[in-house]
Amino acid sequence: MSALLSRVEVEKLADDLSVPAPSLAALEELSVEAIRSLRQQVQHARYVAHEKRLRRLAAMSKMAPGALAAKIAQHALGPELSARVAAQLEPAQAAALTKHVKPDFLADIALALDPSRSAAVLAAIPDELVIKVGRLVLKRREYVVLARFCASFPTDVALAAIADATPLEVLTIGMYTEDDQAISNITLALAQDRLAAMGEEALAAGRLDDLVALLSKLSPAALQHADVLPARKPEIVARAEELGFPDLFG
Amino acid sequence: MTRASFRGHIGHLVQLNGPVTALTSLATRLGVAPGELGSLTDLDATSLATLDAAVAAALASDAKAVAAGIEATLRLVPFPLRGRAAKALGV
Repeated sequence: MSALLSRVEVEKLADDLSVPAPSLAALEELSVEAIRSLRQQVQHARYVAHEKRLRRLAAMSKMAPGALAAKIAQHALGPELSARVAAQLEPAQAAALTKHVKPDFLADIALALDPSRSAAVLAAIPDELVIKVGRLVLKRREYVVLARFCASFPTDVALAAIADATPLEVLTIGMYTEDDQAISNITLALAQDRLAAMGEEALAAGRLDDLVALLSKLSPAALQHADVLPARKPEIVARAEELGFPDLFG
Repeated sequence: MTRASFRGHIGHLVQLNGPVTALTSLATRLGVAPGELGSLTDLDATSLATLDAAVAAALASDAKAVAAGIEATLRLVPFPLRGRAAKALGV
């Protein structure tokens, strides 16, 4: 597996641990699967270490009136802890709680939310609010979070959230997205002129490797849809071969 | 922790511990058997210690945040109910 994708996984692990990515650069020697597995082990350990107390906090939130629960979330727990408590709430209760907090605070929570533990809660939140929060996260340039976000919501919702993303931001989000099917669906829904702009700007910015990383994840149909730079294709294919992705475009 | 102090901390840990110790330490922190971190055995002592320290710092930060969050939550609960709330939160 390509060292390029390992680097991306290391960046995500560093983001989770709030350390500079270069401090974990040695991990790039490992396979993508090994780094991803390590990241999941870290997430699990952090979760179980406080699971009992988080459950108790969630139980208390259930008992408190919505306004008080929101006040506790914003003023006592803060966004990171609220994100973990949210995963313990009933979806309907979590959705009701969102009515009492500002979208900015929800964006703060989104940065710390573990979608794998919060899928039911996320599904209960209205699309309009999801899009609003997603746009706030984009403004903050939290691309790893947006990548998780794009994989957690329907394609149309994800697309609306990143509607204002620059071509290079779309590239970065796509590169970080772990769900290949999700990023393929988003690619298929993107207009080809937007994909062309992303490719051109990636090449101009010296981000050919990142472009290859993204293209390597796409389904055949999505790859065909993204095949929009005929003049630059030989360059992209050659670099893909160097990075361990022969026959990128088939 | 600043980047410089983090590096200093790691350097100190590496002097004290070898790669096997760092791997065992990391496995203990993650609640897994060292064998489940098999692929990490290829890393050198400094890299393992760096990773272990980063995980330790994250876990410590989480513990501090949870404790502070519970304390702050109790302060927001109306006084007459605070005792029951503290009991419910296991304080």
